[in-house]
Amino acid sequence: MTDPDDGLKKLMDEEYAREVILGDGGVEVFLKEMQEFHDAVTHLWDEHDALIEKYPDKWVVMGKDGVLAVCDSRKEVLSTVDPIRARGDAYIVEFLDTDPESLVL
Amino acid sequence: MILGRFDSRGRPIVECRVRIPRLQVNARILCLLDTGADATYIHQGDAERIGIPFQSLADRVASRGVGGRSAYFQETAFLSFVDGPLVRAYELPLRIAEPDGASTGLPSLLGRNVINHWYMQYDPTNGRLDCTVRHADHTFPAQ
Repeated sequence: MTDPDDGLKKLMDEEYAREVILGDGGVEVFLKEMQEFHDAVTHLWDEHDALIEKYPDKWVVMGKDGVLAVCDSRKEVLSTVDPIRARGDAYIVEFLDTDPESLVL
Repeated sequence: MILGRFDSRGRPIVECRVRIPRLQVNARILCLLDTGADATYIHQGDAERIGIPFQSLADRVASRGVGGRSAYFQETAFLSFVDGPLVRAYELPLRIAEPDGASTGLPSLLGRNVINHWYMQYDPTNGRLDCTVRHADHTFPAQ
């Protein structure tokens, strides 16, 4: 026999998940923010070769409209992205490696 | 369909949102699709950049790879993806690398605890990485 509480629990779990996953903004805001992240990644990948040439072995922080910062160290990257993250803006970080190693994972 | 891409080195990548309620983490990251990974992993570089509070991590677990055993911390997380007009989400134990420097340059990995729920067309020749969702823990349509 089905426990009537199961239905309520499922509903509460779904409501909790919605709140955690989507936050206050709902699906539209989620999709918009993911699109901004997608745009930042696209900028990074489209400009990757030119960036390596211009900033070899440095860190780049890319936003949805272009380069936000170029940093010399991981520590500098972290202090740069902290306020960007606090604002909720999209960003992606990459080390512009002139001698990348092969990976085996 | 969840649309992945191949990066400049030809690695299969998907965009993902990570929320870890206990740590109040809400971030967008890139994950490498890794059919060889049993679980999903956030490595040190991403963990630092998305503001994981390492001092709050407690559930220490080990994973074994080509480089030997590595230490991670496990946290319940929600991983979400854009699937056309839908948001697809999975609730799972996420493994976050211990900040010992060993995983600094490694990408975060989307493992089989997520991708086993997808049908994937892997076509780097045509630049296509199309993931059809067979199951998601949560699906939210646009209103």
